[in-house]
This record gives sequence, C-alpha cells and structure tokens, in this order.
Amino acid sequence: MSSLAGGALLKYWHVLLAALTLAPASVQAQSSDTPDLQALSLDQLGNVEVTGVSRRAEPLNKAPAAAFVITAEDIRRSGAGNLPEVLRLAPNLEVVRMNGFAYTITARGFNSPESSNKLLVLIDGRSVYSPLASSVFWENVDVPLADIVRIEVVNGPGGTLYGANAVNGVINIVTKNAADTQGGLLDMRVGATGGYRTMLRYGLAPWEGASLRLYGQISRNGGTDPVLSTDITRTGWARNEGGFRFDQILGADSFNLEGNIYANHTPQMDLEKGRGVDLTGHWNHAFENGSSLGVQLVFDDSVRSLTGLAREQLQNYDLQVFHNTSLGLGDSFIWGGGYRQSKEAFYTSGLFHFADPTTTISIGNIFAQDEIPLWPDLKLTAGLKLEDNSYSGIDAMPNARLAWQVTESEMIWAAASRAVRTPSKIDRELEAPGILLPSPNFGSEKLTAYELGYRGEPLPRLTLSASLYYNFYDDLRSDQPTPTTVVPIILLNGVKGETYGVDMWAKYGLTDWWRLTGGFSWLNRNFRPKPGFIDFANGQSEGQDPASMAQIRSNINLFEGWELDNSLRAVSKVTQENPNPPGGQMRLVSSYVEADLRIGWHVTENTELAFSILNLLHDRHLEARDPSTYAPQYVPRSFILNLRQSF
Amino acid sequence: MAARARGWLAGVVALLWMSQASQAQDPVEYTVKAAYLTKFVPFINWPDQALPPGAPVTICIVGEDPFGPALDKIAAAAGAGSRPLVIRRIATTDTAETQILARCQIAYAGDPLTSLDVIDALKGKPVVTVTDSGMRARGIISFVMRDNHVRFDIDDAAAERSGIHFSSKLLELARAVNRRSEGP
Repeated sequence: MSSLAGGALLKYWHVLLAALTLAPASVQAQSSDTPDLQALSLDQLGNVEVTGVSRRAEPLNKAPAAAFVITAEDIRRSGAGNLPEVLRLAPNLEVVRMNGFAYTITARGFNSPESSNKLLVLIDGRSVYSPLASSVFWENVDVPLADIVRIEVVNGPGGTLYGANAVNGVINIVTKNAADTQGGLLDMRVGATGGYRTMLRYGLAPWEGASLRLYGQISRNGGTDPVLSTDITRTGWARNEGGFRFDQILGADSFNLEGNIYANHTPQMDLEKGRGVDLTGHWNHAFENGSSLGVQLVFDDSVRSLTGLAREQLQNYDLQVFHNTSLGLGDSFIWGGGYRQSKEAFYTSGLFHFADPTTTISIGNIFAQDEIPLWPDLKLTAGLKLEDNSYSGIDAMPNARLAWQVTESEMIWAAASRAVRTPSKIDRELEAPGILLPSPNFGSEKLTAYELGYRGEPLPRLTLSASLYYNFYDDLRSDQPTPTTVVPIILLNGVKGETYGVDMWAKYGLTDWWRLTGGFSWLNRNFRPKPGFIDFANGQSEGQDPASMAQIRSNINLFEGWELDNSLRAVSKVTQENPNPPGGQMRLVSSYVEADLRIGWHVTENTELAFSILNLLHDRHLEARDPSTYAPQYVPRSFILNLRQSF
Repeated sequence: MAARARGWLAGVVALLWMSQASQAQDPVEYTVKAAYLTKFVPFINWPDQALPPGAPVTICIVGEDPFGPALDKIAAAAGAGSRPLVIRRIATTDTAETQILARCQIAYAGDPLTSLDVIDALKGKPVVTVTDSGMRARGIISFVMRDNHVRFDIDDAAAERSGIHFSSKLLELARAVNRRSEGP
C-alpha cells in the first residue's frame, strides 16, 4: 500500500515539476504592459487608479491571523541565551523547560514531550519536525541569536500553506540576509553558574551582489537540580556548531544557500548525544508583471543517540516550489507543490523497538490559495492543500478567511480551517512484546478550527491583537487496552475533544523611550474517548497545560546608550485528572510568577555590555512534571554577563 | 492508484491554466508607492551637513519590503535631478542601530510597530520618514488610499523640527498638510 502510494506520488511529482518549469517560460514570453510609472510626474501618479494589491504574500502584521512577531531587538533585549528561551517572548506560546537541555513548546495546548506534536517549526523554511515522534527535539535546534532577523509565531492551523503538522501553529525563524551581517561580531555570554556561550561571526562580500557570512559557536549549559532525591541524571549540555549563509542578487533573481553543522552531548557520562548537518537553498525570480516564482531545496542528516540504549539516524530531502501571481481579479494568488522524503532509522536493543528499524516516509503536496477583495473593505482568502503521505494517504487541508477592514487601521477577521497531524513512526510501528502492539492503520489526527480575531491600532501608538478560537479535534491518539488482560496495548485514533480559548497581546509606545508589551492567553480543554474506545493513558496524548498565562515586558531607553528591560510572567497551575478517585484533580506543577531584569550599556557604537538576571524572583521553580521521559528538575535563577563587540 | 495520479495531474493542469490566464497587468498599489518614493526626492531639501551637494540620496526600506525589485528598477530609471539614488533595505529596527537609520535620507516603514520605532528613532533627525497607508502611525510623509488612488499627507511641522524643507509644489500636491509654525 505505502509503496504504491509512493509510486503515485512520484508520478504526479514529475508532472508538477514539469508544469512549474513551463509556467515561468510562458509568463516571460508576454511583454509587460505595466504603464511606465517612471515617466509620470508626481501629480499624475495621484491619478493612477490601482486595482490590486501587490502580488506578494501579505505582510504578516496585516494578515488575518493570530500572528506575533519577535524582532531582533526583542531578542537582544530579552537576555535569553538560547532559542527556546527566546520563544518565551511570544505571549501566544507555552514554553516549558524540563531540565538543562530539554524543552517542550506548544501553542493552544498539548504541552508535554509526547504530545507537543501539533506545532511546525521552520528555520528559513527548513522544517525541524521529527518524523519519529512528530515533535521537535529542541536540544538539537539552535540558531546564533544575533543572526535572527525575526521570528513569526502564528497560532492556529497553517495547513493550507505549510502542510501537515501545522495544526495548532507555526513558528517561522528567519535569519538575516548575509548582506546585513557584514564585518565581524563577537557575542559572548557568561553565566554565574558556569554556563557560557560564545559566537564569532564574520561577513564579507566576495563579489558584486554577493554576500557571505561564516560563524562558529560554542555553548555550555549548567545542569539543573533534581526534584527527586533518587534522580541522579545530570542534564548539563554542551553544543558546538558552525555554518554559513550566502546570498546573491542577480537582476530579478535572488539566490540563497545556507548550511549548519553541529554536535552536542551531555558532559556527564555522554549519555545523550546528537550531531547533524543541514543545507538549505532558495531561488526566487521576480517577473516583469509583478509575479514571482520561488524554489526551496533542503537536505539534512542527523544522528541522535542514547549511549547503550538507542540510536536514531534521519535524512530529509525536501523540495518546495511556489508561484505568487494574480488571476486578474485584483487578487493575489499563490500556488505550488512540494515533495519531502524522510529516511528514518531507529536502532535499539530495548524492549520498545521497531520490527523494521528503517522507514522511508514520503509526502507530496499541491496547494493553491487566493486572496480576493469582495468589497472595498472586505477580503476573502480561501485555499486548499492536498497532501499525500506514504503512511496514511491523502489529507485535505482547506482554509477560508474573511477580513473586514473596519477602520483604516483596524481589522476584524474570521477563519475556518482544517489541519492534520500525520502519523509518526512511533504511532505506527513502535512495539514491545506483550505490552504494545504496532498499529499499522494509525491515521492522521484531525483538527477543524474556527477563529475570530481583531487586530489594529485602536489608539495612537497602541497595537492590539486578540483572537478567540474553538478547536474540534478528532482521531487523537489513544492507548487501547486488550479486554480483561489490559496488555498488550495498541495505539488507536480513539480520542476526540474540544479546546477553546483566547490569545491576546498589545504593544504600546508610551513615549519615544519606553515600550510596553503585554500578553494573555486562556485555554479550556475537554477530551474524551470516542464510543467503543478506551484511553488507558488517561489523556497523556493531550498533554498538560496551564489554563492561563500572562506576561508584561517593559523596554526603556534610559539616558544616552543605557537600556533597562524588565519582564514579568505568570503561569497558572497544571493539573491532571486523577482516575483514583474518579473526578479528582492531581496538581502536577504549581502556578508560578517569574521576572527577568536586564541592564544594557552601549559603551561605543561597536561595543555593548549587558547584565541580566533571569528568573529573578525565586532560587528555582518547577515548570513541568512528566515522568514518561525525564525526571522533573527545577529551573534555576541565573546571572548573566553579555558582551557584543562588532568589528 | 492510477486514478489518484490522474487526479493530481488534472489538478496541476487546472492550476497551470489559471496561472497562465492571469495576464491582467493592472498597476499595483506598491508599484505606484515605489514610484512616489523616488519622485519625492527633487522636491525635498535636506540640510547641507546631512546631504552635501551632489551626494547620492539613500532611500531605506525598513522592515518588510513590499516593493521587491520594482523599486530598484524605478530608481535606476529615475534621474532624481542631479542626485543618484541608492536603495537600501534595512531588515531590523533595533534602536541600538539608530545610526544606520540616520544615514538614510528617506526611511519608509510599512507596518505599525516598525513605523513607530522608525519615527521615534529619527525624531528631529534630517530624515524624511514615510509611512504606509492603513496605519495610525504617521511619518513626515504618510501614504493614504482614496478611492483606489494613492495620495499622501505631509507633516510639515515635523519636517521643520528635522530641518527639512519641502518645495511648495509638493505641499500643494499633498492631500493634507500639518503646517509648520509661521516664522523665518
């Protein structure tokens, strides 16, 4: 079955490629009849009637979606020392630190190592999603923080554009163009407890229109304190990495190639190790008539190992093609397709294993989305992605969005969308004799989501975004026990349920030297086994979430060259239903309030010194208790000195 | 399986046909705005110390770039009086990098947050801030959309504080002008 589907994928893939390579030729053949605007005088320009918006993807800050953007300045002024900590800046994300290196990050619920499988994370378009477990192993994902230009965090389904697994949200990490990182930068960070991180980067322009940067980085994280006296794991973390990014502009074409290589390990006994290499290329062509064609190619290869227990090897090949154009209706039309192949191998001598350690998972897709003005102030966006994966076949991921421009600077939007999480190798193939049966028919988990939102500037210098969502999930993973004997268990799509809630945030420029950012989210969850199913795991696949989270940040430019940055965040308690006695609630993690403080000083134009205290309020606090993977450990307070020197 | 492959094929062909049918070449909003950016230049006087005579005029696009290569093409074709035009894209608006922004003569920003940062960072500096339509944040020049036409407003009082002079022709063409204080 799966090899047949793979054959079909390959067949249509060739057709798609041929179609895409033909399309630009036919567009190019037409001569441009755009009026020569340059010949017009200033007053004539005011008389030109414009009937369409530009034929490009809409800027995120004007898009009808719950999107938050973390800027380079936000990152620099947060004092954060790695990518997961930076993501705490997004009020619409649930960032949970488990120990010295492990994090779980989700949007709109489902937090825990096993259940955080509904968020897609892309670094310059390269997905870091694991086909083994459907989650992100954050310890293997990092980016030099000074290289990031922005991080776009979109809550809600993004399946139509991004494909499977963009169920509850998408994190898009965008790094700087190499042209913007010319010269040298030394970014050094030292913590009072022995952790440090040093990045050295150099950018040059080898020839006209081309730029290149190279970097190397070493990071050492201190371990965290165990909660249990029996816990002897040491979770200190060491990581070395290096890489490059090359950008070239040739007339209407832009090229980009970037690559990274890393190795990391836990210094104590070297139990957990990882290494990897990745290469991503982009090509973009802008046509005379304003349309554009983009191609992205990704290759990555990684190995993770737990000494003596398991070894995972993964290779991904990914090709995506898209064409931004217009159907001539004043609309903006994007369509394209992609093909991804993951070669996954997992070797273990443990009880839980795969009968065939190697699996090749292939996913092909085509999509189209149109953004069309219905009325001067009303715009409809509708799109569909069809995705064919070699595990469970075809999934359709449509979405429709209405955006109503209420005033010049305010928009109300509504959306209905469908997204899926495709099966992971663990879902389908993991087995343990007498305990767990493989589940060869495990299918996609499905979400139908309804959203209503507002975004705009209700007052001068205030931007506000608020969204309500109602999510209907079906075919979520359940652990079905065998009648009477309980074991063996089999994983089935036996749970359904709803979540609903609010995400909101605001940014306010009190004065030209003081910015405030605040965010709040509230989540309600309700899951149950479908008729005929039993969930022996008692909701483990739905994770553990606080009902509410809030944060406020203040960024002040003091006198010449000095910065004072504060943040305060509160997370409510995490409970789990206790089956014994039925209906009881068990508290897993207490609510907590934490704060960060940073003082920055621009000694010269090229030198910046900063002192930060992260998690200022307590010696240590607990963010997660999930016994299925790691023993619980506390998150400590940390004191950090940071030097950024450009040359 | 063959039926499935045929289904995909039909879909792709339909898409291809649709994209080829898209031949309408309406002037798009951002091409007109790009033309404006270059056409403003001859009507603006910067203080000599900010822009020596004959020096190139740098137009900076801060944050997301809605213009793409169209702006470069228009700028290349434009002879902005005797001054050459340089287009610069600045991805970030870190306030620590204000000196980079201050080297622009025109700084365009297209979203509310970036605009606010650019306006605050360049307050009183001899840079013409230009903000896009659809926002409350207003630079020295702000685009406005009126019945599918691109127009612009001018905050001449802010220009005065920045030491910038606009020609009377530009002020006449503006839809609305926030007048500078009367005086010398």
